[in-house]
Amino acid sequence: MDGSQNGWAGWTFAVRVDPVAIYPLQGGFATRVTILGSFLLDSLYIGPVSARNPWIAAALYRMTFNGGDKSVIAYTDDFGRYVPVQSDAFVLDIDGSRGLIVSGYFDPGGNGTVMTQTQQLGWSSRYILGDDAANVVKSVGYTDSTLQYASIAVQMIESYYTDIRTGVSTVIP
Amino acid sequence: MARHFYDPWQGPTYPDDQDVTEAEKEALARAASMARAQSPGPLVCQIDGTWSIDDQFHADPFKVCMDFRRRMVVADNDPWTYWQTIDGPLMPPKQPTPPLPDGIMDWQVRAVAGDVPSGVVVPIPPPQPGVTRVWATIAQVVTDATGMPQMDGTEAGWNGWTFAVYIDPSAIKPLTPAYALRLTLVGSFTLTSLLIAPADPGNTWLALNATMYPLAFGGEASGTATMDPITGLFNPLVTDPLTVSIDPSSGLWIAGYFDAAGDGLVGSRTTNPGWGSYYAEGNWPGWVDDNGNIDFSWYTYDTFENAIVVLMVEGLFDPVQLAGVT
Repeated sequence: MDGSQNGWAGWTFAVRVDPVAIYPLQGGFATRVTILGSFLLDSLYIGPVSARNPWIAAALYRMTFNGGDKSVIAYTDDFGRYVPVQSDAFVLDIDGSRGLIVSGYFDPGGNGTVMTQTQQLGWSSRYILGDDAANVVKSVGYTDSTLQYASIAVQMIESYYTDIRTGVSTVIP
Repeated sequence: MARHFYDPWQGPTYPDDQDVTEAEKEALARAASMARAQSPGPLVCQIDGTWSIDDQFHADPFKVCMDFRRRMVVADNDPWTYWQTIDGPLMPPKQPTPPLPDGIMDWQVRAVAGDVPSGVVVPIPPPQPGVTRVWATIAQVVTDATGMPQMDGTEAGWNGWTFAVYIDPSAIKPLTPAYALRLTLVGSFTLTSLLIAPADPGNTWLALNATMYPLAFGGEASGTATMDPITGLFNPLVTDPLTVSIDPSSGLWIAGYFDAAGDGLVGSRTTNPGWGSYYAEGNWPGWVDDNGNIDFSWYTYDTFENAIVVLMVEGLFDPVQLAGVT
């Protein structure tokens, strides 16, 4: 990611990734998200975009951290580098064929510094004051910030493609 | 009241929603939605987003519909419609989902903001419709007058030894990760294994993340290169495409083990800027040391030959990625 910005404590962000920037579109057996910054994140959700509106999620699933914690602290190391924070694996096939929405709320008592990414094809972002992370509707009340940052805090979305029951891949080569 | 909206199934918007009560507005919206539901236009289910284009006879179970109504705080006997009540903005219909890459396993990046983190391999998407990917040389030994890469000598006695070739980024063009890689080898030998890895940007003696990717020959790990008995020229041995997107911006390590029972004769190039060759006795490719690294610094540097065995490395690209690359 190519920038950072502080002042996010007490705000909710939403990042949408369009299908053009997602591959594979199929969600496999589990999903996890990597975030970057220096903040206390109270909650993080991910879900597929609905067909109603690009900024309305069909559903939002709460991610956990460190084996079940609902909130997490992201921080910098001794050299001032942001340490990637990976969520726990959320065991669900989250379909990306209409896009994905990631939303989170930064605790007002935390640092509130996020890493940002400008001009990323297929990525867009918006924000709102207060805790609105769990709300699937991101189309109302939010301020669009895509021109400033295509991504807020979200660095990477990964999925797991080995069938944990059989130990073989989803597709036999 | 005259309707100003352009579609009969469009819900009331300004100025049509002026001077009407909320109840009248809702009635207009329901009437428009019913017209929409009976229209030939595309419909979107409010419950799960299904498009009528995707599923012409889509229907949700009664219980699901009733649960949805209750979530929307609609009394059981109140009129209600399950279709969108406005024309736009609506999402486009669902596009066909491309198949998963062959053999995809474990954790894979689906989307990344900014540069791909070091060591992360991104799955290779299929080409855009109408685009044909092309093979292009990203590194090769020095070319001759005809523009073809040519070795300038041979070395015998490699059977039972491991070779390693490092190609510096200065000798790689383009440095964009290709969709796939393949190698052309020359000599008369049998390789029981051939591996490739990006160099670690923090220490280019190491394979990045202690991971090397195996190259195959017709689906087999082992490959035999031969010499034409009449002309005495080597027949180039080309590997199968390795469909892993490798970042070569810190250089590439290629290593292989020559079968002790094979010929052990390789093509070589004395001076080849940006290339270095190394060797070790025994079978070492991909060996992970006690520090958890695949380290090439302990190999012996070949002071006579900059390049052995590897004639060229090719990458698979979209044509647009090669624009301006000379």
